[in-house]
Amino acid sequence: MPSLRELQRGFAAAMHGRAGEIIAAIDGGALGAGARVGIYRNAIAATRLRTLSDSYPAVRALVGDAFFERLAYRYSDLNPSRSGDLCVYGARFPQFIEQSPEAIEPVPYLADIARLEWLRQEAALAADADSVPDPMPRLPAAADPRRLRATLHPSLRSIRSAFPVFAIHRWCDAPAEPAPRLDDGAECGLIWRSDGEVAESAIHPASYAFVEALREGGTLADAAAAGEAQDDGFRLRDCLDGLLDRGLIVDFTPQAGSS
Amino acid sequence: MYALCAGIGLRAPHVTRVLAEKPRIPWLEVHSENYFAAGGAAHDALERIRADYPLSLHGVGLSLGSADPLDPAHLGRLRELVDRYQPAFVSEHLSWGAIDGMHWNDLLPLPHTREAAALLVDRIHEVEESLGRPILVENVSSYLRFHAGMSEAEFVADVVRRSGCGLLLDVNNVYVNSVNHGFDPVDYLRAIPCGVVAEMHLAGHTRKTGLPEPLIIDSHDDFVSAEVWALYERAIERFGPRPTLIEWDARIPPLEALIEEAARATQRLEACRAELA
Repeated sequence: MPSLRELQRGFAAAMHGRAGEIIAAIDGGALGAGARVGIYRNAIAATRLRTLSDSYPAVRALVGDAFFERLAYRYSDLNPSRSGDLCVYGARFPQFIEQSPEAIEPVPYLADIARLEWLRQEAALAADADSVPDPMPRLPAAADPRRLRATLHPSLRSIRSAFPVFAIHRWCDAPAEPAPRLDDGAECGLIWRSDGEVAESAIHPASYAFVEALREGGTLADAAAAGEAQDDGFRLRDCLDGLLDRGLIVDFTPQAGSS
Repeated sequence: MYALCAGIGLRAPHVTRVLAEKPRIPWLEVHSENYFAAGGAAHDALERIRADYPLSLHGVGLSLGSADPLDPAHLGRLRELVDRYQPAFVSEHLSWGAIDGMHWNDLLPLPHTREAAALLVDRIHEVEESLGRPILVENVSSYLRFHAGMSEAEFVADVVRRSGCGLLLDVNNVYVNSVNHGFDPVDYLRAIPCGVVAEMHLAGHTRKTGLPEPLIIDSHDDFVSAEVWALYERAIERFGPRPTLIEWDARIPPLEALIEEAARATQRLEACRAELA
């Protein structure tokens, strides 16, 4: 009898179609060891397909069930699960789509839709804010407002795409609406959780640059400079108000070393 | 507490109704991993549910029987969940699901060897020490068995006896394996020490046809079969009435169907108690 580790490695190989090592250790009966191993292989493949389908419903709707299944099975072969928690399985599916010419050539925006769907899942599962966001977090009285850093809501995610990804995603949910036109252009946007539901909103590229700068730890001045670099007309106050109104900034802290 | 009543496994399609209507259900069990997220609506719902119902946490991804060490991140998240919700029971499976860092997210069968039993005993102690509380372990259904080793019942009894943990006896799994591997399920029950069973599970299964030998898939997608109800009666005769749970994970029916199925189990528990009185 092989050791437990040898046996489990043999079983793992069998899940990749190399059942030779494990067959001798199994009492196959009339059904046969290969068929019995196949029950597990099929169940595992079905679980991964179901997990990806649950996480990427718009991708599935866009490419159809048969193509999605082929894509999902190939992804599963190349990307084994690394966690006992299936909620984190499928994180690399957008990159996999991006590198799959048969997927990206007919549907050039497919990887960005997948990216949006994964960000929506991350937003749904992210930590709660430590406290209910104050609609107007207080600015430390002695601090120079432009030298403050902002703490973003833990669920806040952002995306930038060369395609109208939010419009396409909405259309997948309600395909009776007129289909979005790809020449509607690029979209930037935010995804977050509000009252337990995932929300999303397209934003101006300058606002996207502002949020990304804040996320990287920049001060309000740094972030405003990033926004202004995108658009001379960027207005810090308006952008900040939009984030505060949505509860997406939960705190302000002075830059280290400033007073 | 709820020793003489049967509860249901709470699944996503029923959460909204349970929150809104607070139906009379003696207790609820959830899959631990479904609440591993740091925050969000699922936790909001479980907080409210925990305020109204006794709760148990049933893990499906810890991979107790893997030759790999336990995943410290997984165990840490389970500990946070246990600390937060203070469940009546915490249970895991006598199976494995990961090797060399790759997870199969399934309850894979172990060889019934002394090596596997010793590893499980160590792992059960490790989990109990980490959580600061005892756990239950569940016998799993299987579609293959390995040459050599003990019978499954001897293996389960050995692990439970040596680890000192309680057994979550899945009666459907005993029946499924008795058909798949050709043993008498009542003999299986007789091999399990009387005092170790702390909880029981019941579920539906799917009998495959057209194969060279009988095969049942533990599909959790149907009502409990007549054969499993009969075995359940034998189990509560032997082990006494124990908290029992109806599991239904696929083709999930309306909530009423699960509540009625749980009531059928409760009737049997009450009949057993009346006989003992």
